[in-house]
Amino acid sequence: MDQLSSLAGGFGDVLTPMNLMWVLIGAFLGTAVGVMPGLGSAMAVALLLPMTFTLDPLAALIMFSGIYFGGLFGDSTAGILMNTPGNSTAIATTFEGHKMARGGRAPQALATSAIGAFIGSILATTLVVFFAPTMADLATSFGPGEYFALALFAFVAISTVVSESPLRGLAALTFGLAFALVGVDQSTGTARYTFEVPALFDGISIVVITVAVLAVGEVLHVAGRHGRAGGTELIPSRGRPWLSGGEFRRALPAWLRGASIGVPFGIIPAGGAEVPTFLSYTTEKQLDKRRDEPEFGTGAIEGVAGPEAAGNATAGSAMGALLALGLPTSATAALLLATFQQYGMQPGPLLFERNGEIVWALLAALFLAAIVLLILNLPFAPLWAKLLMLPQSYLYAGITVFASLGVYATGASQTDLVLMCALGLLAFVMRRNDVPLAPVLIAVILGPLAEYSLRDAMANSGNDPVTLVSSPITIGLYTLLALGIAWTVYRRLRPPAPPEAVAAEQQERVGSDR
Amino acid sequence: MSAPTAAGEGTRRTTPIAGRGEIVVAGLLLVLAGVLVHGNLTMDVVGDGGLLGPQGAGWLVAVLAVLVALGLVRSALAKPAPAREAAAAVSADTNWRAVLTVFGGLLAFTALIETVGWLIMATVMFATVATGLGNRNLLRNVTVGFILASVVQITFSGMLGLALPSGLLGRG
Repeated sequence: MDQLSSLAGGFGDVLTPMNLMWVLIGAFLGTAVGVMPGLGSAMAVALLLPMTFTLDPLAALIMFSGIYFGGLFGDSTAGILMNTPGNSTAIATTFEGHKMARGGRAPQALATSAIGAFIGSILATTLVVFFAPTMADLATSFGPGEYFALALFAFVAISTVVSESPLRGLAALTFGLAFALVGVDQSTGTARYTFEVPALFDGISIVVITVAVLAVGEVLHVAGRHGRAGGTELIPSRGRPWLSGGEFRRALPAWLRGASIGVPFGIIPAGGAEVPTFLSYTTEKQLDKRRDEPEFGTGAIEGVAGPEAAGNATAGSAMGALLALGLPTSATAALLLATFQQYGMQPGPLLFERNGEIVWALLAALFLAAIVLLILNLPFAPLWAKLLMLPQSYLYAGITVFASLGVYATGASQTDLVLMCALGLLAFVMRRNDVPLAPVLIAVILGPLAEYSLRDAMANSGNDPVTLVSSPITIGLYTLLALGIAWTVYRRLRPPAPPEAVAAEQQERVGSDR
Repeated sequence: MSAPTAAGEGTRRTTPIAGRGEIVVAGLLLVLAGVLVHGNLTMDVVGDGGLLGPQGAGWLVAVLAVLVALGLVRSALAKPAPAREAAAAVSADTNWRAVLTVFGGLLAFTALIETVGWLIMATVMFATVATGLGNRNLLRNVTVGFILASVVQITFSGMLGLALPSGLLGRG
């Protein structure tokens, strides 16, 4: 098999002391930001993006993908022990996980979640290894029309279909699209919306936008909430972190079900792993109801196993969509795309041909990262929980310093810092009004692709709009999009959400407010 | 820290904006549309860009911004009273002093980084943000900030070759 020999080559590239160190650093940082509420892997990558100027591409990508997976390993720790999910992706795990911890089974809950995350990552990465090259081959026939459809699909999916409120999603998308327009037009050389400021001719740097939106916006949001959130208590995790045979037999099917729910979601621009984790939680709950003695509500191990596996499976297959199609399906994936672009590489069908070595090394690193993360998380989860004792004031002060460092170091330009302050303020206003931030990043990164492929498609066809829907792939994508919109409309016209979903939403607010 | 939630009870209903934060977002979108339209009208177009040209995408985004802004205003006006009250309660319960302190730290850093230099400004910003977030031990905040700023200066300037302005300390 072609893939296996390429992958073996990838392992050969990664198994050097230096690269193994980057795997370890990535896994470490990822777990740390995952454990801490309010910090996500997207913010961690954004803060480290300026480092790409001093690192070689493989090292940076290895480290960032370790952070990407690690964030999903660590996020359940705080949820299980403190009932405050580290990220929105861990909310579904928290329901049953915290109840398990309250019932004295904290080590088992942590182990179930770590193994679940591991299984999800490994299964999804294996699928990527076998199917991504095929997907990339298919995508080599893509012309501007297909790319425009793909970008439009991502825009609509992330802003309306997945978002709580389509209007708010679209508002975020509009801001992102506008930021992407600033700078010199690639095809004519016209300066656009630069207002005679030379620093803007190259456009607004993706580093500035992501750091401002994710880090500065978050710090301001936390400041606004300071002294308003209630206290929480940490349940100590004592005893063996191993699962008994019976527990393992109950968790295994849930892990596999969770992983299979998660995989397809990685390819859809659904804004990350929130949707599949909840879907998996609901599935496990339905299955539990058929038992003689339903356990959900009292700390069911399946309720931890399913969502964790689903979350990491989504992250794994999202990597496949990113590498093969150049389509980022979550904020972190969008930042990984930006990282590739920083090095002059364009994820998508040609990446496997042009930068094959790096791609396979990256995939090999993903397997290693999953193993390292399992080792870091299985026995040491209680130690990670100690991170939660770090004073919030120092944590966010440190984030502010690193945010400004990253932005200033990219261009040594005061204009970038001014933009950072302004965009941070905008992100603060958006968060206060429940406007999602992920569409901003997706729009900034895919905006230029959408614009130039539309203009190319028009130029190639002599301004015939029919060219946009002239191939089976474009027709398929637009049909899928129409179905998604129809489903959204249907969902909104239905009677209000059941109490459970409302509770979940409130939980999410608590989580994101911290 | 600032006034408790209950104190906001009387003032909450006075402005028509209260509990309708969407209007702020809508306003920002309209400003954005205005900037795009102004940019398009004053743009010095070079060469032939085809049907859409360099301005086409700008017009599309401007129209989108106006439509979304109108939608947001409509949904804000149609918001039922209980939802409005809940939203107003949340926004009244904001620690503005902390927000302004943190933002002030950022602005000071932005304005003075090149004249005063990294070491001093990063320390000042760290201490400002930590203090703004409720840590009242000023001396310790400054110390921790200074250590962090120094470590960053040494690793980034010394080892990775990234230029950070030395400012006042460099001239002395």
